[in-house]
Amino acid sequence: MISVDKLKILTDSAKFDVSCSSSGSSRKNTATGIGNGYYGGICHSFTEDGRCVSLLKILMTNICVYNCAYCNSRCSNDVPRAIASPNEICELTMEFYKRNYIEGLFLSSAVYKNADYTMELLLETVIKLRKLYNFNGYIHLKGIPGADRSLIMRAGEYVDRMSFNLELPSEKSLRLLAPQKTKKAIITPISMIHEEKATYTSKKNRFLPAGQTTQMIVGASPESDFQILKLTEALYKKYKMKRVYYSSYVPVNTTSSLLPTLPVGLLREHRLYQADWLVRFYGFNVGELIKEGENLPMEYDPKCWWALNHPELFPVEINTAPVEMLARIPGIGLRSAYKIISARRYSRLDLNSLRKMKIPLKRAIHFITFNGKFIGLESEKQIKQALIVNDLNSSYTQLTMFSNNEIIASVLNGEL
Amino acid sequence: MTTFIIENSYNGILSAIFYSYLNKIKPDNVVSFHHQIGFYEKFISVPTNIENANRVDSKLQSILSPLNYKYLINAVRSNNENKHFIIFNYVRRIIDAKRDISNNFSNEDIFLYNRLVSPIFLEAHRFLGFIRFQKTKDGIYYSAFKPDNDIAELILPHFIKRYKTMPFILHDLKHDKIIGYNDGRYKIVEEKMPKLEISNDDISKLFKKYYQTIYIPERKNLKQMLNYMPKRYHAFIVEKNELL
Repeated sequence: MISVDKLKILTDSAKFDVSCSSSGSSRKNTATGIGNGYYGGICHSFTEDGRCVSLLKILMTNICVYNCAYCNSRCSNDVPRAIASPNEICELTMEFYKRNYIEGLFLSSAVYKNADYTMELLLETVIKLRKLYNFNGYIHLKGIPGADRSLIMRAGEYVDRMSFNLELPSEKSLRLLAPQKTKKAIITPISMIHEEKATYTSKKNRFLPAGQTTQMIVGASPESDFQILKLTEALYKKYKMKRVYYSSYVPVNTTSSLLPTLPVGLLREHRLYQADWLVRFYGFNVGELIKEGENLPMEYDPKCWWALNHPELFPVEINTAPVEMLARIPGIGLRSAYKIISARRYSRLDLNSLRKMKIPLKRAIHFITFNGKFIGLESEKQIKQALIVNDLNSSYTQLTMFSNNEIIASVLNGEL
Repeated sequence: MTTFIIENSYNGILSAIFYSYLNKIKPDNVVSFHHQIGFYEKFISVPTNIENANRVDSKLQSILSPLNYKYLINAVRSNNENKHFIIFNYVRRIIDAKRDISNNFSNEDIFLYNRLVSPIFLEAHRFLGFIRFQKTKDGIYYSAFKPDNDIAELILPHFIKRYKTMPFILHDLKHDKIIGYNDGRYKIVEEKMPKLEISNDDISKLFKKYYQTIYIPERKNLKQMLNYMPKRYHAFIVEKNELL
């Protein structure tokens, strides 16, 4: 069994890969196997930073030949190094899985010797896990950019999800901060996998059931939120990406003058995720939320900001508005919109009925009417003032932005 | 003030429904046997009648969607002390309406019922993740836990599918329920658990180390963590309890 010290080194190096979900695969167990997929994903635990623990997230090794400026494992950095064998990883995964600590394995690696050699080691591990250990739970495998096509395609037959990190939101930044990783080396496998998955729907053997995701670091380079979101939108449209993750830049023992010395406030990352949600689930276009070269406002969430800039569309009548418009009301999310359209089939709704249904009204009252009656504030300026998120500490060290109750509420119930 | 006293079960509630419609009595409260009765309350003890209950049940099954029916038969699992009355009122509404109006959230009875049922299934889903097994010296995987609602049977199918070839025990300490599974068959008992010898391997130590290490201190947010994983569950979650 793997040693505690080795586990610590390999976990420490993997934690900034923020992708954590175990969803998207309904893999079935076999007669003699252990494990299955659960389509919605299951959160087994939560760390003290509030993030969910779903998978065993480790590196095969943090011994790396690359020297990316933002990475703690870059070869010029003096940190303890370790490498695990495929068997060590398989054993650990099985023992954790059997005790219901995890949904499965998230396996990544630094570039050890070269891309192909590393990819072969990763492939050996996942094949062993499936075939020798009879494991049918979730596997998320990181791809090594630049590895041979055949290795990547083979991996797709054994794992549920793969990802290749974009790392940075523009080619220019990538060249500056991670010159050994080229845009071509990253995009080529993403494109390959997308094509392969599209052709696989008719065959019996499944290929990458939970699709692919990617990640980029936010705040390490000067791109605007507009640029980041446009890139995100394109990734969803062109490659049917399941999720794009944003990782707030946290300086890790860096000496590079190209990087900021202070960590990025979490609020920016939160706003980007809110915008990402609006694009994916609320039918917004990036162009509706933000203009070229701009950043998302910190004082308002993106949906609220959109509503304030479109006073001609409000107020909206609760009893007749289409569900898409209901979902665009500040404070009313998809769940509340659904509750409203379900309830109004039976009777006309008024202020009391909405209160009884526990629909958050503090912000929404300025944008809706009940049977023609309006009880919100009259002037735009007053509304803007009422909705602003107060007490925003603009200092860079304000990483715990969850001290503000409104933001907490929005994060907890997912409603915008 | 007329109060029905019934058995604490789904059939008990349906028997009360049958009795209510048959005798045209609308109770002001419906409680189960071990509830406190006020001195001046007029109470009627309604025994459980399986035949009558089945008649009401088939009517409900014909009206409700499969999902809403599933919610109904599991609604008694709730830990809400007013559950019998809330479920009773919901069933009355459904029967009077003669169609599935479970989505009419502006109706108070339906809204309260919804608020009764949702936490049961939310908790069941959470426990798919919060259950932790310990390996005994005999190779059985044993899990003790204390859920608010009686959810052991709800989570059982998931673990049977997942751990097909692994013998395991789910022990609900709050509701005194033990479910044992081995090789395709399971049994539910409500007796005392014999002492099990937990084998002392280092797997839980490794997981505690893993849990500590993935935490990013710059993003500390205890409030969010506790919201997702309430303190009352921590006693049986190995990485949250130093004694385990």
